[in-house]
Amino acid sequence: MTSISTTESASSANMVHRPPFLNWPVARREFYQSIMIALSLPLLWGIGIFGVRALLIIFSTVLAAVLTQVVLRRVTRRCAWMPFNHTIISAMMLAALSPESCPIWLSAAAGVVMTGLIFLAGLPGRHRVHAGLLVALLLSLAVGQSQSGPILIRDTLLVGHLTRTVTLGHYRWPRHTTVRGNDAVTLPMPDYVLSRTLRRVSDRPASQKAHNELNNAFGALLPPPPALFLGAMPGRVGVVGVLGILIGGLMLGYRNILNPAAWGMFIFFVLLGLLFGPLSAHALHHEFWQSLGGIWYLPPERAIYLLYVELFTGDFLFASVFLLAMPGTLPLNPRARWVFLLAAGLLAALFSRIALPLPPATTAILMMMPLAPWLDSILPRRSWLGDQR
Amino acid sequence: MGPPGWKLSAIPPAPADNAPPSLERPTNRLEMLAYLNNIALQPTHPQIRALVAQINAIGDRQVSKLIISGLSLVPESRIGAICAQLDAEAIVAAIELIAQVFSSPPTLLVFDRSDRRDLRSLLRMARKRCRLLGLVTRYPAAHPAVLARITSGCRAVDPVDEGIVSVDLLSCLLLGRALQNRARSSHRPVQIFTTGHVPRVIWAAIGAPVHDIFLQAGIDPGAMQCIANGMLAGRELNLSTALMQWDIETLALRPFPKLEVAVDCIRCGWCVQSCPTAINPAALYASQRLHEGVALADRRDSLACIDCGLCSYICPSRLPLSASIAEMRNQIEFNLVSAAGGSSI
Repeated sequence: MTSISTTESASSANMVHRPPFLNWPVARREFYQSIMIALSLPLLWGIGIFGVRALLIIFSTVLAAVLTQVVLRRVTRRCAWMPFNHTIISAMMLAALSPESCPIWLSAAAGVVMTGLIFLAGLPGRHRVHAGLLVALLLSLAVGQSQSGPILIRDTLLVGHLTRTVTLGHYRWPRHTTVRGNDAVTLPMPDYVLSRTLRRVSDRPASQKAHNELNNAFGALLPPPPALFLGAMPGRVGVVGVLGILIGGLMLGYRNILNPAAWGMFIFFVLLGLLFGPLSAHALHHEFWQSLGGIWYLPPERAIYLLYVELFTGDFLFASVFLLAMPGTLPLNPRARWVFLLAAGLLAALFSRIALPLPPATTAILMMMPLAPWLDSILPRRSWLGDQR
Repeated sequence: MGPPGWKLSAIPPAPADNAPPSLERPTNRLEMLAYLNNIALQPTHPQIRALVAQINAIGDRQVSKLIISGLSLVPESRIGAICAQLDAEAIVAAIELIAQVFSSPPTLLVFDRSDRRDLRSLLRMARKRCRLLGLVTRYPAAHPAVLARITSGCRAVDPVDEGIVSVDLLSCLLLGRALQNRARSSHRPVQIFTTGHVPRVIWAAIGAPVHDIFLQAGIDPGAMQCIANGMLAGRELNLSTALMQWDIETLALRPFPKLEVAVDCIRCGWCVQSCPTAINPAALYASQRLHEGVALADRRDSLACIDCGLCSYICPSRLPLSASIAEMRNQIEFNLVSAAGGSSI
């Protein structure tokens, strides 16, 4: 079953190569490198969108994390087992989930804290919560994002004066935005617009008032669909580049690092939650049963557009590709994975609708991660051959 | 895929076998047992022992399916194609004998599709008697339990309860040669892979030093690492002491590799995905080595391991999963025997 060279010229190579049915990387280093390359695509996209500021956030986070590890290696013996690749990936995840308005010094501090957490938690693989993601959530809470202030930040060093970029092909800036200075526009956060609109329409989703609210939101306040797809909107550094995320996901899927079935199941359960969940926290609080499935009362074209906007403005795609690809996220047993993805998907949809001030999918997966060993233990995998013996 | 330049002319003729015994051709299962045990083949041959065990287990019951497996238990091996090229007529004669002994049950010849060209003559001859089933993946589907599952619509079947008997092509070849020559085999074909040489097949005498086998093939092993039965589930041989055994299907020589250090499990789950018998190697390893508080796996699952070695091979952390499970299995079997017999083995 091996690829065997039959020529004498192949003398330098071993005659017995890796079997061809294992089209996977077989070393941890290659494993992490693949994730790193895939993750760099949405980060590069984010740099294109947000300019040098995003580059500085990424650079400071990664540098701080690596330097912390270097120091820890010199000081402690235990840190020798901590791979740099894992630290770099965690720092990249942290940078990807950082708000674009995050101060540089805070990004660097987050990188230091993250490496310290990995070290304290017992090195990669032993912990069941990704330290990078945990710190990213804490950072989101610490920094916050002003809901309607100057959000979309671009640097004149990279793309020139912002007001002159209107003519660039894929940047169709909303005309109503107010330019402040050379490198920022005032654009309301899509999450904020969505939650505010849904809260207003959730009581009577079929009414004319709700129809008007939705028209207003989708027509004037939210970026148009192509801009959403291309990431020309406020958001987190590595999360806005949908195309970069999808290309990275395809690469990880090809390398068998991302399980396409797990990705599909997560997105399916998220959509299920969005379709049958409440429209807002307000509706959920007041009329629990009546609030479920509120999206079905909307006109079909509005409902479809709403799902589209929710999927692309949230972190669903980013989390479903990169968090699920990270080793240690999912339980090991298939049935446990199924339950994990079901719970995480529904939770993510719920968090999105109740306007949690955190990335919904990342938060949901992170909350489920400590339960993974428990799910593995209560839903064990039974061998079909073991039953016979 | 096997070596494309592998031709029949590259395989040397078989050496003369031992002095012929005087038993007649077997006609029933008892005579077949005697033939296999005493006359036809060495009893140390693992596949023949497996056939004997199957005959003993099934007894007089009807055999529902006879599977002739052209797949190999060793991933690097192309033993099915080689046997078919060596003597297809002997194989067909053996298949007919086995089918006759088992009262002509439905017979299935399973082969790897990539070997179709090399198996052409055998498939043509066997087509009248057997139904042909070409598989895309041959490893580790060659294991009798996995093969029984595949050929039964992926149901979890017990080959003995279902009356399924499986025989490999090498056993058929040796049995066929014994029938033709009325002689006991003393050699078996072995594939040799070495750095800088074209892969080759030689007839190796059982019990001969492995070092001499390489010299016989015109290869000086020197200071190389020798691995028997492949990189996935094989074992390293000490060239100064190792002797040829019946279960050695391939011999590979390579420079001593730089060892990779095992590190902590990163819980990627690849071992679970790749396991053909659906066990959780990472959890078994954790319960064996790390003594984690929560038992993530039933230790008895280790009994289901077929030693294919896939989990160890793909593990990015280089954990000795397969060896650990084998150790656990041996421990459980030892305990079971001790509990049943009250004495140590």
